[in-house]
Amino acid sequence: MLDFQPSTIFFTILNLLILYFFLRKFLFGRVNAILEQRAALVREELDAAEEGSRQAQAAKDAYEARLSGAREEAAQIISEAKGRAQAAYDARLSQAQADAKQVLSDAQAQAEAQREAVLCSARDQVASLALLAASKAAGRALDGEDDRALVSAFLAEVGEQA
Amino acid sequence: MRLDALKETLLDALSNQTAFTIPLLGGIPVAESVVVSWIILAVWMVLALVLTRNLRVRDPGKVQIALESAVSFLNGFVKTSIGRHWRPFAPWLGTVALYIAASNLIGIFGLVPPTKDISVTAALALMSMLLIYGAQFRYRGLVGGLRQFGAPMALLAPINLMEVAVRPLALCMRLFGNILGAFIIMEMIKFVAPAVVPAVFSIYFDLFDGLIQTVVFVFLTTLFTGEGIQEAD
Amino acid sequence: MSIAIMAAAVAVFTGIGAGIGIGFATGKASEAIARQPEAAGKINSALLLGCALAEGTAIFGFITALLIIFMG
Repeated sequence: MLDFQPSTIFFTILNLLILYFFLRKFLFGRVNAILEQRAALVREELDAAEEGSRQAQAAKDAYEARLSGAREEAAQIISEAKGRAQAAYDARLSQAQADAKQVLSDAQAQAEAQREAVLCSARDQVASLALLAASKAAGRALDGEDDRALVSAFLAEVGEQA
Repeated sequence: MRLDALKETLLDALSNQTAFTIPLLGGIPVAESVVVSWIILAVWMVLALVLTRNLRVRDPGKVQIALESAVSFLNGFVKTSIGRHWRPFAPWLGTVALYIAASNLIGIFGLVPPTKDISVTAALALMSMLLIYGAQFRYRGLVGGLRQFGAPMALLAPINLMEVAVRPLALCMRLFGNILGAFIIMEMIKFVAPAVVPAVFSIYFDLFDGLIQTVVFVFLTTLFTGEGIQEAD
Repeated sequence: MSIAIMAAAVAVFTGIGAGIGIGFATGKASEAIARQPEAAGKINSALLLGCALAEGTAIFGFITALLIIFMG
């Protein structure tokens, strides 16, 4: 019962070694290979996911950059348009002002000319009246050329003093 | 005289029968335990082949998940006990665990447990000793391995050297004694109450004790191996 | 023969020591786990090792008893 049997020891060691090599190849080897493959797969997928998220981040950054660029451009366009509109408005306004000034000055000049003409004719009439009155007073006709000049000079002197 | 009858039964149960003799070199006896071991080997081999038939990396089946978690558990256990060089040890320890567990539990099926034969446990302990000290010299080199016998202090060298013999002896005797004790108690119970009662006790002595002793044997082997090589890191 | 039986009985008394030892170890391990439940794994493995070594004593006694009975 308590005697060691060399043949049994030998057979048991043989059995153990056979079972060991068999299980190492077909049980532990296969399962460990699967486990390692799964670990590799998980690592790979994690890497891929990280890569994907990084790409998405880059795309998002680019998009945002483009968006802000577009916004700036829009703002620039608007400000340009505003400036142009302002310029057009200013030009139109100044044109209108100039026109109005022109019209006013034209009207003034016309009025001045009319007034000049009226004054001139009035002065002529006054001169004729004065001549008439003077000829009546002198009893003779003062229709000589030098008489008329004299009266005109006199009247101009009076007009200047008036 | 019932006591004598009991003793006869026990003696009968305790002796290791020889199944047959190979007519070579003057006859090599093949013990019954070896034949039962062959049955265990065949069962484990067929199971291993059937269970690992179509392993898949993606969406594994229930069997594969159980298998993977068992192997992962073994790997993790060996890794924590042995450390960096765990990889070559895990399959051997797993094999020993499967073999001892099947040997201890096969009493349930009415076969004689091979671990009741002291020669079988001696062989197991011998292999454990080879593993423990082989690993010590393999990973520490000749000088480092020898110096390990003087650890933690040179004064303990005689005790460490004595352990070379004591450890396998203790491993062998522990496994053998537990299984034999359980076997004897089961025989006694069967002798006293042949009916339902043995089945109840069988749950404790065959199932629980068998598994505990499997764990203890593998655990101690792993621990001693790790102790031999761990500080080499 | 009867002396051999008595010798076997004395040899089996080693079981008392192993029982007390394992009892102490398990009690202390329970206390330790109650105090530090997170260290349960390490405590369990230490307990298992200690119990296995303590149990070895009882096993040696048991085998001695068997030797005395059947070989003596």
